[in-house]
Amino acid sequence: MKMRSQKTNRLITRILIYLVLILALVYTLIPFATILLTSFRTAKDAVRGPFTWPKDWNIVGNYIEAWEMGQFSRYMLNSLYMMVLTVVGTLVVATLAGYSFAKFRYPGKNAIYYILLIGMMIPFQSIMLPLYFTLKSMGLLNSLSGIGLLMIGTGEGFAIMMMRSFFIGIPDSIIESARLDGCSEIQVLVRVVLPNTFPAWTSLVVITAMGSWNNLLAPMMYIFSQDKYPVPYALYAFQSAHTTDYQLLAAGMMISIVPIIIVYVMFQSSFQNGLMAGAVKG
Amino acid sequence: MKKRTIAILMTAAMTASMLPGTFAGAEEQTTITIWDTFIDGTLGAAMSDIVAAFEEANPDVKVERVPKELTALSETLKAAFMAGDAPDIVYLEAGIGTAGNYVQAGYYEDLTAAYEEYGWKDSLMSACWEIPSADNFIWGVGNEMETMSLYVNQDIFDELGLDQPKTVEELTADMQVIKDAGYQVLANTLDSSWSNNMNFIGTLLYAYMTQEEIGDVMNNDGSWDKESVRRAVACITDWLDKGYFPEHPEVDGDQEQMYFSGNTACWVTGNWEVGNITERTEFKTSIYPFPGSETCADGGSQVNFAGGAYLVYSGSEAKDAAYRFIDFSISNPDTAKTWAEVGGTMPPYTKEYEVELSDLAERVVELLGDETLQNTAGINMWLGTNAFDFFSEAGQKLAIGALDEDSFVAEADAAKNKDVETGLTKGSFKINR
Amino acid sequence: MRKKSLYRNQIIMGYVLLIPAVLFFAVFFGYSLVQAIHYSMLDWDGVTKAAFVGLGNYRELFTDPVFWKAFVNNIFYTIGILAFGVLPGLALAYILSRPYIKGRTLFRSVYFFPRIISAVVYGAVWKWMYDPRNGLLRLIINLFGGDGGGFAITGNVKTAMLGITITGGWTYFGFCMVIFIAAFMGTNMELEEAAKLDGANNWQTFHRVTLPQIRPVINMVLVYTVIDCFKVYDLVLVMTSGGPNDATQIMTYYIYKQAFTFNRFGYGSAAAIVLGIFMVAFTVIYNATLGKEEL
Repeated sequence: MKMRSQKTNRLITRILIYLVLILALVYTLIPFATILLTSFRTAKDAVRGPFTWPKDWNIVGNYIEAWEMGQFSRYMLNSLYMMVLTVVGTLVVATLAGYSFAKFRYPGKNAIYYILLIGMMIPFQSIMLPLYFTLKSMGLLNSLSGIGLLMIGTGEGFAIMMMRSFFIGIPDSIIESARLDGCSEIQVLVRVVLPNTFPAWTSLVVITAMGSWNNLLAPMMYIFSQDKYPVPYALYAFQSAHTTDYQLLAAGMMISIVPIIIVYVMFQSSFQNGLMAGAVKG
Repeated sequence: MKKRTIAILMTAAMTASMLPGTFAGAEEQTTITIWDTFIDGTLGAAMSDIVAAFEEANPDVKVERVPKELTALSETLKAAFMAGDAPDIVYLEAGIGTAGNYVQAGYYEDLTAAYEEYGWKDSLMSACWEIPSADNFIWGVGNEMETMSLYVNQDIFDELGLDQPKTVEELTADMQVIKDAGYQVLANTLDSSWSNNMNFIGTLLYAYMTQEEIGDVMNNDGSWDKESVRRAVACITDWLDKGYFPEHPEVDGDQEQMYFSGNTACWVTGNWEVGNITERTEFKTSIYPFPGSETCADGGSQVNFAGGAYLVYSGSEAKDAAYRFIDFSISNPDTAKTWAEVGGTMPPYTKEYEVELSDLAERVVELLGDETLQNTAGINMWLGTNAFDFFSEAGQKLAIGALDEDSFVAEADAAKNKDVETGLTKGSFKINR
Repeated sequence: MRKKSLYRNQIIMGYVLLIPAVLFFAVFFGYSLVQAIHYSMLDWDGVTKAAFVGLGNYRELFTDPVFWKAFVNNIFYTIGILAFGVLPGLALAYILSRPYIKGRTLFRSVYFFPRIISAVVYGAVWKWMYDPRNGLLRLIINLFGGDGGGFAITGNVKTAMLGITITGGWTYFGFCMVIFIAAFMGTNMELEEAAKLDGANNWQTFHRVTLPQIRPVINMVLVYTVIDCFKVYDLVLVMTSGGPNDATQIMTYYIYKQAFTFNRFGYGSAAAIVLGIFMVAFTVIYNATLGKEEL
């Protein structure tokens, strides 16, 4: 008797849980579905409104038109370059610094930590103009590398914070024993600490990549040549030129979203592997 | 050995002499940079065509064109001026609110002499220099002539037996008829977009204010507290109360969508919509000058804009080349044709040129050239920064009831006074010479 | 002897590890920040001559009602995001980290999608959804027999901020979930097993055993959320531009408007500095009190 009610309880809970998960899924996907649907409509039909049921279909046409008009291939390469630069740079900088803050003691540590965090707190608008001069003096104006690098500088606050909290979670004992075994600090870093950081890295990579890909303000300010624009800026310009061509807009949005989704899904698998390894270590 | 060396030397010499201009005393090539706001679309295409045509006709000048989105351009311009490497020509909105402080700081060149030299005052519409000027300093050459008008779905008007409204009061009566018949009356929203607010309010204001009153506020920093202004605001409030606006006009809405759907009878908008209307609607549209009020002594004025203007950087080292480019681009029948046909906009060129226009576009040209209508620069063109900001939101505030006649006038004047303090109104503008 | 040199090595290593971070910060951020502080004490329009006004800008800030409205709005937004974003994220992460849930990868991947796209895109779509004339909300309410046309979310002074917050939450919960999942995966399952055997029910296990283990991560997320919420910009710009009638005015938009629309560069910089100081103060105070970690 007791066992049965326990089983049904569990069943009910499971069903409820799945219900919640599915509702959340729907909630997440509705806007995407809207964009997708709208991108398949004809111009005249789309004018009726994004939530009217389509009468006319134009499945591929909008995409072709948007792709050509928007010159997305070029812009995607630009975004990709910038993104890789920022992600790699941020990973390196944040891992080293996070490790330092989490596992070492030295005078002024907290002060330096807070100063670096300040980078996160000041909105970009306030340093926008002085930054122009800095970039100019370094010859990094109108250059994707310049923006990639500056994003490391402005984005490292969060990355460091995240790596630091992650490293705090790693027990000191592992590191101590490595040191006692005679490893130099560098060896400790490479052999003991780094292999454990993959779960955190995957999240950080994804987050930094997104931040870099979607950055609108910095490229708007510092890039002048049309062929160097990254994707969001291209999309923004596309929008201003075609305000009510909903179906084109939607197609353009889809084009700019799909690569990121692909990247994300790709990372999901290594994400999972990293997590499994982390869980086993427990 | 010797033969070989000689052969090599000869080949080198021949190749070198074939390189254009290496030995023959090359013509000096000047490069001018121009920043504009045409990032895409028809205007971008028109500008590119014009640049190419100019370079062909003037091989000694190379034009480097950098299109940028409007906000980005304004901000980078600031930094560029401070760093001393601004472009030779900037194409931008050039009302006193936008360009005034740069002029005062001495970054823009006074073009009065250029106007004389190239005779622009004879070949271009007066708005071109009236808008970008104050205190006898002309800082720009206007382009993209635009005018606000009353656009109506003529099919609906015919069906309901309505004629062209000659006064605002007649229009109001027509609107009730339209509403009773079950159609949407206006396609205008008064939402968060500054242009939706300013264009509409500006047009209504000019329907009630006389030329004298407009001049008073525009040029002499006069007060907004005038009977005519109050009446205009009352009219807007009246239309709001009677439901002539779309439901919830304060929420961002798509005016084009509303009008193109064929269900809306009237739209207060400008000639930039002509291309879209021709392409995407199937009903007949008529363009009427916006009617003045019965209470207005001189029958009201029509709102005109210059969508953009050419400005020349005072520190440019290629000013002559810059002037030649501007002249070519604006005061020339071929480029006027390009602006109209490729760009879909109204060039300010007043002399004859060959062009094929759609019916609606021809109608606009008619209206712009009509001497009986009082074509005047709209408020967008001469308001100072604080006033500009006030009017950008005033429509939405009226729609949600956060403003009434009295507070409207009070806040407008307060904003104007702030602008006078900073010297950015036509009346208070002073250049240190 | 060995201990001493080990200890010194550690200190050196500690500093060396910081070099790249500090370098990037100083070059791309620190210098500009110092400049901004300098600007904040000027009465300057960015173009003409500047006049030194010391703390005058700051004094004016504190008497500007719009400034305070923006501040309050940011606080409202932060609380809203905590409710609509962080809490659901935590809950979902917990659920998804349980071994018996199927389809985990699918759920995880999809929930994160909103964070991927830029505000320009999702702001526009949510605006469509909120539209009282042909929006999704109206459709749904009409389906249930109500009058959807009455709900002007972004047009109503009272509900505009809420509308924006819900949209913000929609992008946020997936993001929190990802972080919390990594955290939960690092917790010790054995401890939970032991607690259950000792007779604890699910809630007690969660509250007393699992949660404390991810305390550092929770702290980090909280601090990050507050800071991020005070920096919100794109979303508000796309959806309401700070209106109607300043109902959705926020700090960053206020700064931008003062500096670039009204050409009061010094004043805008002052507002930016105040914002920065506030966030620094918050972080310091939080870490010293509620977020105290046992290191």
